[in-house]
Amino acid sequence: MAASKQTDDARSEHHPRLDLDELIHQPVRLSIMAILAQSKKVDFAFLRDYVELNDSNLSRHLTALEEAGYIAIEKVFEGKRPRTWLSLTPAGRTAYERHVQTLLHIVNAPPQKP
Amino acid sequence: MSIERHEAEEQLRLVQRAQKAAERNSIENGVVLIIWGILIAVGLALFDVFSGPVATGVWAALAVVGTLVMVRYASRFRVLPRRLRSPWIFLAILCLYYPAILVGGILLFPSHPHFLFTTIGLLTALPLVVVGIVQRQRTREA
Repeated sequence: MAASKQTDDARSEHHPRLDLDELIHQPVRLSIMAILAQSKKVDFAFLRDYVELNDSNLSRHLTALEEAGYIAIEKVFEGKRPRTWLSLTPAGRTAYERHVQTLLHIVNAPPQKP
Repeated sequence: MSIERHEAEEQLRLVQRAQKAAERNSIENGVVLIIWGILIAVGLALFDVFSGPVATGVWAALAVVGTLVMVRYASRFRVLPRRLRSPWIFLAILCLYYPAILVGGILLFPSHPHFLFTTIGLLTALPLVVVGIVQRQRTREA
């Protein structure tokens, strides 16, 4: 009976790390999401310089986030110059905020006894 | 758990660094406010140095050049902030504060003592410069 209750408790109080979004957890993508969460829109070149990736590697990360519905990519011409603007979608903002909340939960949780 | 906590802390630091970088590269980095403050202080100080019409002309030219430079500077930002952190109430109060202190100063000191306009300029520029410096400090790397 006691063992069954312990199992039930373990199920209902699952570890917060299980709430982390695996797609956002990766450091480059987390940095991208953090910058986009702070902004209305961000230039592709700024992100590339900030995360220190080349265009193709950054594009791979952006495509993954776009396919998940977390970011929107807008390609425009400003004068004769092409420019790519990136922004967070509402779903992306929700996922990012949940991810950060989970991180805070882990950091603020009391340490477990060995 | 200790490793997980450590990882979570590291991720939160990553988030904080990214957010500061975004602010540093947006119009919220404080530079615009500091430069406006300096321009206002210098512009008004001119009225203590030159006669009225000359100072008015130089001040107008300074305002036009300053506005053009600021517009160009602002258009080059690669991060557009989601919302301006400077609350609109601050900007509204500043819009009232500027003419109030200017008109008040002239009415209170009709004889235009030395450094009247310099003092008015410094008082007017102070809130802009202070907020600009606070913004710059906030966006600085830890």
